Amino acid sequence: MRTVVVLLLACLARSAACGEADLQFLEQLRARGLTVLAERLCEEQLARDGILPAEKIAWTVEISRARVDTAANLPAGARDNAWLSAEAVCAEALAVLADHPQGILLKTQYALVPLARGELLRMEADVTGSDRDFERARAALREAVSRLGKLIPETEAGVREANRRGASAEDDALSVEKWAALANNVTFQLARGYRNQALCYPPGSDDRTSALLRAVELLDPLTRLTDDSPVVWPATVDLLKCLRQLGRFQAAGQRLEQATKAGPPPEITPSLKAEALRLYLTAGQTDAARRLMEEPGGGSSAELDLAAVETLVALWQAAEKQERADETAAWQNKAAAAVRSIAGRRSPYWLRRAEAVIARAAGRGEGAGNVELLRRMAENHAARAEFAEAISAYEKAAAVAGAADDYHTRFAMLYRAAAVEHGRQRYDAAAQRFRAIALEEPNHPQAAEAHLLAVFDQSLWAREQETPDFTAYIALLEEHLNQWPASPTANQARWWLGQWRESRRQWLSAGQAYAAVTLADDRFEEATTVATRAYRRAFEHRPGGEQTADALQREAAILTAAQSFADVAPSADTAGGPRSWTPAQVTAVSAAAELLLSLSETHAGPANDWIAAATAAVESGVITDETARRELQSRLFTLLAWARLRQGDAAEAAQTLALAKQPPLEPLLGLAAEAARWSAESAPSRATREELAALSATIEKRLARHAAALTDEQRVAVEVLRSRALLAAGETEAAIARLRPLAENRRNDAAIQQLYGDALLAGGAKEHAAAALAQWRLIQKRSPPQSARWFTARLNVAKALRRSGQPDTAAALIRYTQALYPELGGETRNREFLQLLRNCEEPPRFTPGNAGG
Amino acid sequence: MIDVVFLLLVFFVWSARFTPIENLIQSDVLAASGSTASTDEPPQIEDFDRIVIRLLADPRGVVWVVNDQPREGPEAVAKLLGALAAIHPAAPVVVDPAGDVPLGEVITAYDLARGAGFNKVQFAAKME
Repeated sequence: MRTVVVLLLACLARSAACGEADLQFLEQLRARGLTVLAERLCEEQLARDGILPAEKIAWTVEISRARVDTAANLPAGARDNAWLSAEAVCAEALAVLADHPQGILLKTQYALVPLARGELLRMEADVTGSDRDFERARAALREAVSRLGKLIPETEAGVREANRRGASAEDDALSVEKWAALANNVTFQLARGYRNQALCYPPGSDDRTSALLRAVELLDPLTRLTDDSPVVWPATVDLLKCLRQLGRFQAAGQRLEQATKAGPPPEITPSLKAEALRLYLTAGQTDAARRLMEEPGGGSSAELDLAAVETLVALWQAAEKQERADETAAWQNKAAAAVRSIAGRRSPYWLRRAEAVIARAAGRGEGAGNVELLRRMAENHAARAEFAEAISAYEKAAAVAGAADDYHTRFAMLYRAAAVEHGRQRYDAAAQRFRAIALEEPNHPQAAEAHLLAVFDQSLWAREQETPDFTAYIALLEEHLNQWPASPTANQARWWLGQWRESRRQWLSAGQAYAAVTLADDRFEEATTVATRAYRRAFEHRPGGEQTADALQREAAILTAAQSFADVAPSADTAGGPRSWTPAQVTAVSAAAELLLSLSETHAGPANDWIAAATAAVESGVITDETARRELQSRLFTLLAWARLRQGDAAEAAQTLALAKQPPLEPLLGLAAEAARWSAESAPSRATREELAALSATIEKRLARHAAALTDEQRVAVEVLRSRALLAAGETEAAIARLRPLAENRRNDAAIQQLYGDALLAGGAKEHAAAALAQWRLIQKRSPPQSARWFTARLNVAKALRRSGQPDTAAALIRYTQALYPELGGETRNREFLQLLRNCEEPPRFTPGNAGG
Repeated sequence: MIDVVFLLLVFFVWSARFTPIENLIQSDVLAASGSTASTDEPPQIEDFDRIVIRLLADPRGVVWVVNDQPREGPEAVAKLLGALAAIHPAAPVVVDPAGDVPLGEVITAYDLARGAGFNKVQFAAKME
């Protein structure tokens, strides 16, 4: 395409104002497609101080040409600005230099820009067949013809004036020869404009005939110029085309014969041979065309290649008409090979045109038994947005391939048919097609890829619906993972599944999906991070923190994930030791340790080993980025502190935490929870209590650094942890003060409501007893009857009654509850109920400061 | 049939109030307001569960269920009600018979509750 445009514009008369060396350099830049550099060179020249008007005109023409080249090489949707700037630079120069003796050069270039644009659009419209594209081409060509038409009298006047002036011409004025060459060139370009306009109208239409006749009128005199005029041969070729397109075959034949005898230059020979082939074909002389085609010589051009394809198709159709099956198949194969050759040597434009020739032929006849031709036909339909026809052709090709037991090609054809459905945004149909071919041939190398596309299209389709339903999407993802668990596409499916579940707050299953992403995947490291995050959320959302069967299952799943993360580490005896680790493995193993520590107090041993191994890897220098190394070290030290506290060593935990320069938030929160748990649940010695208090203070300081980054949930979690720590330390009033606003703002958070109830019950002040009674009554009322929480609340209501000075009522309530529910909510609570009952029935030894129970 | 049972019950138990049981109508939740809640203490009666006697039809006879705990039969229920009434006779009792339970069993349940000493015996209304 670029060549065409360059040829078109290369005929423009050059001003001597550009030095020969500069011009050569420009040509070399263009030949290498370095059009932007060519533009820059022109801009630099134009910005020179003291640039003369003639030079300015010359460089303006060159920069416009460079911009035309740039436009022609851009994708269709991105060209408009380049075309406008190619035109604008001429228009700006014309505003001041229109009357300059060489101003005609600017005017010519100004007219050639829409011609180049129009021709390009017309060629693309040939391929797409779209009326809208033809209309855009016509608009540009109308403008070009209008501008060029106005230049004809001006150039003719210029020739006369130059003749009249003779040798007395001023310095900048064009010579007679230059004016004459320019006049011929403008005439040739105008004819070209008409011919392109003609091709924008349907064959046989008045508009096409009229435009072709205008072109013939202009071209004919040009072909009779002396041989040294550069327009003679291009005009001859264009004239031959016009005559053929007008149906004047005899005249075209005579002209062709004359031209051939006149000894055309080598660059014209292929065009003449192509025209000769087309003339034979139009006359139905396929054998003559065949002989000419098979003659050696004649050069090489895209146009000639296309004419050869047309000839081969004509030969195939002739054989088909005579029912010579073998010969038909042979010509079909040759045509297919010729198209393949074009695909490898020429631009997409010529390939599309060749495919269009094949498509027309295959669509007409019975020659649809050749898979490759059917494929070409389908691709041509697809390029012209004839999607139904394209799919039908692909299906025919698939059927032909299937009949020949060529299942690989059959798969490829059906795959393309599905891709066409996707291209026309019929995502549901695309999903069905992709899925069907994948399941039909699950062992095909592209089966998993096809199925993943089905998944993708299914999601697009679901999103388009007024009420999106992703059930089928999820089913497809699961089907993908069941069918192709080891395929590289499975990791993408896992990722999508994780994202979908995460968006629906299905934390555990989201974590499982992410955790299944394999080490070989580029996103493995990221997957371990998001899996850990999801598992953490799963753990945060345990209902009431209870050890239900569901919670136990959840723990088992997280334990499995932790182990699978840890398993990615190289074994201890791997050559290179810690140095053999990758950063992804370090991240995975630290995630494994974090998950294990998050689970429960029973899993610390392996976490210690994992952290130690990952730390050794980090210290051996496997992570080269200093910031990443420091962050990972801090994470590992924080996890180690957590593990040490898990083992009951608060002092060691504090020392380890001190080594973490920037402890990350999540493990720090875990460590804080661990400290709170130890404070609340164990009965440590005084020394241990002091160590825990020191550790808690350190943790709180470290957490303060994250204050701005905390989410609302995390902020609440930190508040809860502090409150627990205060309660454990016996600072009940402070704990109540912290918990009161939390309880008021988060009425549906059962854990906070219970913690507040505990704090009130532990409070020494008399008013706290009444508040505790109200709080536990509220909790009981909002708990499912006879659930674990309901029994806890009932027990605490009884405690609060006793604390409020109503031991008889408390005892009655316990007996009443016992009568109705003899098991009293399980063994532990049963014991507590009975102990409380005994306390209530004892003679009044009760002191208000005692929490009771 | 259900309507007929109801009419009869109204005839026999003229003092009974028709109150939906708790499980069928959502009760309001008291607002917690920290220590100030102590000044708005709910009535003590709420600490003691309402006693709900469900009567379910079964091919082998009527099944007796008290507060979701199955009981052996009217004798066991009588014993339980006696024990509960001894602790807290002010507790409300709700008799909740299934539609196809013979009327005689329903009256027995009512009599057991009254006989145990409960003053407030009600029948569950059917929510349509």
